[in-house]
Amino acid sequence: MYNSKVIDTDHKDVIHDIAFDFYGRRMATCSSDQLVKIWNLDDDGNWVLDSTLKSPSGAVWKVTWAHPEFGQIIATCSFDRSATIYEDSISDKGHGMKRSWIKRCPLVDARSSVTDVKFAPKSMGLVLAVCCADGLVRLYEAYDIMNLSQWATVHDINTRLPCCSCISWNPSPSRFSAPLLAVGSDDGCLANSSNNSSGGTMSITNTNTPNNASNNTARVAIFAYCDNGRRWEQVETLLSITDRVHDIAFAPNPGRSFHILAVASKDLKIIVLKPKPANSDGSCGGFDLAVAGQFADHGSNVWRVSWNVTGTVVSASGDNGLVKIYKANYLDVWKCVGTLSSFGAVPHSISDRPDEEEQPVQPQQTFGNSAQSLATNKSSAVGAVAAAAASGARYLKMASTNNPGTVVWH
Amino acid sequence: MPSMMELEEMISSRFYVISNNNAENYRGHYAQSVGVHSLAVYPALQPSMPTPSAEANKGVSIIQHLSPKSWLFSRHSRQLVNEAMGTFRSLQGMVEDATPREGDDPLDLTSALINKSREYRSMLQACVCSLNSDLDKLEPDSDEYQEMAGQCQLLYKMELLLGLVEIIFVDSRPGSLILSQLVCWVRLHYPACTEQMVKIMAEEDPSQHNLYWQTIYELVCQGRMSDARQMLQQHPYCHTDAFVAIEEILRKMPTYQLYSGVSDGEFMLRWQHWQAECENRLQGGEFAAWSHLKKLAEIMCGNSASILSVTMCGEGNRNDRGGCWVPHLLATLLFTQPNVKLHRLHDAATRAITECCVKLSALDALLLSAMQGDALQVVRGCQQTLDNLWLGAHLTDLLHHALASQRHTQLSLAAMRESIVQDYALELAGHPSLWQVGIVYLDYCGTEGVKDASPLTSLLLERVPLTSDAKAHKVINMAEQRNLEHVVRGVCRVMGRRAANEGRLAAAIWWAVRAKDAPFTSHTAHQVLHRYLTSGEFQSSALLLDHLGPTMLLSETLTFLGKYREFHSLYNRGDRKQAADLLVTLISSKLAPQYFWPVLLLDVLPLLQSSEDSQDKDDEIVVTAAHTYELMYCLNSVVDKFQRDNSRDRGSAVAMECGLVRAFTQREHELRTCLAHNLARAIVTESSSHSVTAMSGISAA
Repeated sequence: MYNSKVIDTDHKDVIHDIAFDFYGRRMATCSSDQLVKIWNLDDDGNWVLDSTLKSPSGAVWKVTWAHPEFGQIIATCSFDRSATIYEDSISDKGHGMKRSWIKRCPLVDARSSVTDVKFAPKSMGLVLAVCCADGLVRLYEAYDIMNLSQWATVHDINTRLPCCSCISWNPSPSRFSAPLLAVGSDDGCLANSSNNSSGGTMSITNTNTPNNASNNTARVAIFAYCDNGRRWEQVETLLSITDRVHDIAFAPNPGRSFHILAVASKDLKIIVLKPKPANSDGSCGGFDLAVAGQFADHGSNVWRVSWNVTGTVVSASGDNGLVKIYKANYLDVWKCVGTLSSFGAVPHSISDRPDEEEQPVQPQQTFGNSAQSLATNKSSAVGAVAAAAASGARYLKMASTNNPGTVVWH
Repeated sequence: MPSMMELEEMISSRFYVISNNNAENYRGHYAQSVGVHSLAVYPALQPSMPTPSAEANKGVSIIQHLSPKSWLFSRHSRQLVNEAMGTFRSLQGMVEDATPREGDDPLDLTSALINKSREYRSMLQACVCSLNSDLDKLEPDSDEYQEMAGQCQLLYKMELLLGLVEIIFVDSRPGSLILSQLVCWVRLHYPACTEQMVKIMAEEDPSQHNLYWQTIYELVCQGRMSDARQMLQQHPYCHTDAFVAIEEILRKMPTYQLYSGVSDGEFMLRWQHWQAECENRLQGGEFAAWSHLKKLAEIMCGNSASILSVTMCGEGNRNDRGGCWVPHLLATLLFTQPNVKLHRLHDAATRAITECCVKLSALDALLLSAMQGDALQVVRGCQQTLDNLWLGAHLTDLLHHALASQRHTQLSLAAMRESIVQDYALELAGHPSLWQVGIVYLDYCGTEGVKDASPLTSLLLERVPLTSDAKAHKVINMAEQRNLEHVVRGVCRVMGRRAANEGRLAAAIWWAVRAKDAPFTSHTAHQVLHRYLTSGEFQSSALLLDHLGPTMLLSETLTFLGKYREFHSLYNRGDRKQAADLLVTLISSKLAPQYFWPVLLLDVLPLLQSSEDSQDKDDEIVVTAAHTYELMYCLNSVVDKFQRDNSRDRGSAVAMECGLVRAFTQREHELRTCLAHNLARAIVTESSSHSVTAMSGISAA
C-alpha cells in the first residue's frame, strides 16, 4: 500500500532524472527544458520548491547529491558536454543571511555529451566521477573542501567501451575492498550527439539507432583502484551482457563480503561479485561473478534500476510501463514482491467489469509496441483490483496494494 | 463497508496503480528509491513514441512520491507498536537467559512464551478497544470510519489467529486433548451470545423475547451449560417435566479437565453414557410437546443439521468476524467428538467449512494451516496476506522459540525468523517517527545475538534526517550504545558543517571537536579569529572556549584560540604577569597565525602601560626583557608585512583596514614607545635583581 503525494514540478519537458539527498529530505529534478530544480521536504511532508537553476545550454541528463559532510552540493551533467557543480551556500553580504545556490565550477573537459555523474563514497573525499559518451570516465577531486571552485582531474579512465551511459560507485567500500566503479555502455549517443544541437531528449537519440555495434561487445566493465600503481585498473568485464546497458547500480553494502550489482539492460540482472584473493604482487585479484537473479518481465528494455538505502530492495522500470520491486527472501533468492502500473491510458469504466480472478497480473512476456496491448494489459490488471473494491475510489487506492517489505511466496 | 473477505483480498494483491491521467503519451514511469521503502516515480518518455507536442507535454512534470501506507502507521497503532517492542525485547532477554550454559538442561520457556503471547494478544485487544471507542465518534459513512472499521476487523482476526497458535504450538498440553482450550478460545472471540443473554435477562419477561431460544441454543453450542440453565429457569413452564429433564441433561454433561484425575478413556465412557441418556429421552418423546426443547436435545445428541441451523444464523456469528465456521466447528466437536486430538482437528475443521459452505478467506486459510500444525505455512501466510509484518514478526519469533524449546529444531524457521524480523524492522525504520523502534528490532536480527549490532543499523542510523540538535543527539546516543563510532563521527561532521554554513561558529567547533575532524576544526577556528578581528569579541564562542579542556589539542588553531581565550580570562582576573607570559609564548611558539599578531600586540599595550603606571613598585615587571625583544621582533615583522602588501596590492590594504587591524595601525607608534620604555625598565630591574641574587649567592657561599 502506498500513500501518494503528487508534486507538480512545472518542468516544461521530460524529466530525465531525480535525485534525493542523503537523508531523502531534498530532491533535485532535471529535465530537457535545461532546468534543474531543487525541492525541500517541509515539516508537513510537502515538497516545496527551493530554487531553480538554469543550465547554460542543453538538456540536463543527470543530477546527483554529494554527502552532506561536504555541504549541500549537487553535480549535474548535460548535453552541452559539461558537468557542473553547484553549492547551496549562505552569504551574509548585504542585508542579513541569504541562502542561494551558487555555480561553483563547470567541468568542461569532455569532448562529447556527458551521460552520467556520480559522487564517490564519502570515505574517498569529495570526488566526482563523470562519464561521457566517448568512453572516457574522469574523476575530479576538490582538494580543499572549503573551496569548491577548484577541482582537478585526478584520474582519466579509458573504459574502451563503445559509449558510456552510466556509472556506479561501490557505495560502501571497506578496508578490505578497494574502491570500485562500474561503467555501463549503450550506443547511439555518439552517432546522434552532433545532430541535435538544442538538446533533445536522450531517450530518443539512443534507441532509434539500430543496434549497430557488434553484439559481442561486453557492455559492463568494473574498475578498481589499485594502491600499487595508484591508478584505476579494469578488473572485470561482464562478458555475459552484450545488450545495451541503460543503468547500473551497486547495492549499498551492509558489511557483506561480496558486492551486488544491478544491471538494467534488455532484462534486469542482479549480479553478485565475490572478491578473489589479491594477487601476490598486491594488485586486485578480480571477482567471481554469479548471476543471482535475472528478470525479463519488463518488456524489451529495463531503463532504470534503483536500490533502497539498505540495499535490500531494488526497483526497476521498464518498457512496458511497469515498475517492479525485487527483494531477496531468506534463502537469498530474488523475487518480485510488488508491481506498480501506470494508470494513465486506461478508461474509467473499469469499475463495472465483472469480478475476475483476483491476482497480480503477470506482465506480458512478449512485449508488443502497440498501445492497445498495453491498454488491455492495464485494464485487466486494474479491473481485477477494482472489482474487489467496487465501493469507490478510496478502495481503489487500498486495493492497489504494494508492500515491498514483504516477500511473496508463490 | 467492505467485508472482511474483500479487505483481505485487497491487501494480499500486491499491485499498485499509479494514476496520472494527464500523461497519456507517457508509457509508464521511472522509479527512484527514497529511504527504505519509499519511491518517487516520474513519467518516462518511451523511445518508441514520437517527440510529444507541447500539448501532450501536459502531465510530464508530475512526480509522485509514494510512501508505504499501512494501519501500522496510524495513530491508534502507536501504542501497539511500542508495547510490542517492549514485550519482544523482554522475550529475547528471557530466551538469552534460558540458553543452557555448559552441562545445564535448558530451562523450560513454555510458561514465559505463553505469557508473552498473552501480552501480545492483550495489546491487540486494547488496540481494538481504542479503535472502537473512536469509531463511535465518527460518521459511519466517512472514509475514516470505514478504514478504521476495516483495521478493527483485521486486528480482531490477528488476535484470533494468535490465540489459536498459542493453543496449538506454544501451550501444547500432554495427551493433546485440546477441546477445553478450544472452548475458551471460541468463547473469548465470539461473546455475542453472552451479551445477548445479559440483555434478555434484564427484560421483565425474558421468555417473551424473540431471541430467547436462539440465545439458549448458542450458549449450549459454546458449552455454556450453566448459563443456558439459568435462562431456562426464567421460562414460566420451567417446572414441567420436559424442562426438568432437559435441565438435568445440561447439568450432567461431563467436561474434560486435564488434571482432574479422570483418564481420557474414562471421560469418554462417561460422555457416551450421558449422550446415550440424552438420546433415549429424545427418542422417548419427552420433549415432543416442546419443539424448542426438542431442538436443544437434538443439538446435544450431535445432530449436525440442528447445530448448523443454530450456528449459521447466530447473531454473533453472522457478522464477518472470521466466518461462522469456527463456532460451528466447536459445537460439532463438543457434541460428537469431545476427545478430539490435535492431529484430527484439521479434518474436523475442513468438514465444518464444507458444512457451512463459506468461501475461505486468506485468514481462514491461516487458521486452517495452524490447525494442521504447519508452522512454516502460518508464517508464510502472515507475510503474504497482511499488509505489514507486525503479526508476522512476533508470531514467527514466538513459534521459533516455542519449537526450538521443544527440540524440534527447524533451521528454516530460524532463518525465516531472522529475515522477517529484519523486514519488520526495516518497515518501521522507514517511518519518520518509528525508526527508533525499528533499530531496536534490528539488534535482535543478527545470528550473533545482541552483542553485535546488525550491519543494517549503521546504514539506517546515518540516514536519519538530522532535523534538529535533539535528533542528532538521539542518533549519536543510539550509535554509541551500539559502538558505531563512524556513525557518531559522521553525524557530528554533518552537524558541524551545517552550523558553520549557518554562521554558528561555536556550535560548529563543538561538533567538529566531537567528530575529531582536525582540518575542519582549524578552518572553523580561523573563522572565529577572523570574526574576532572585525568585531573584537568572541560572542557565543567564549563559553565554549573556556570549557574546551584537553580537546583543544585537536588542531593548532584551536589550541591557540583556547589559549588566547585563557589569556583574556587571566587578564580580566588581574593576573597580569601570567597573562603577559602566556601571550608572548603564544607569539614566540608560532602558534598564533600571523594575521592575528596585530591583535596580540594590541593586547600587550595595556600590560606595558600598566607596568609604567606602577613605577613605584619596582619589582613588578610584567613583560621581561627577553619577551620585549620577542615582541619588538614581532611588531617589526607585522609592519614589514603590511608595507609589502600595500606596495603589492591595493585591494588587500583595504581589507586590512577593518576593525582591530586599523586600530593597530593607528596605535603602532604608541606601541613602539611603550615597548622601548618597558625594555629599559626591564633591563634595569632584571640586572639589579640579578645582581641581588648573585650577591646573596656569594654571601651564602
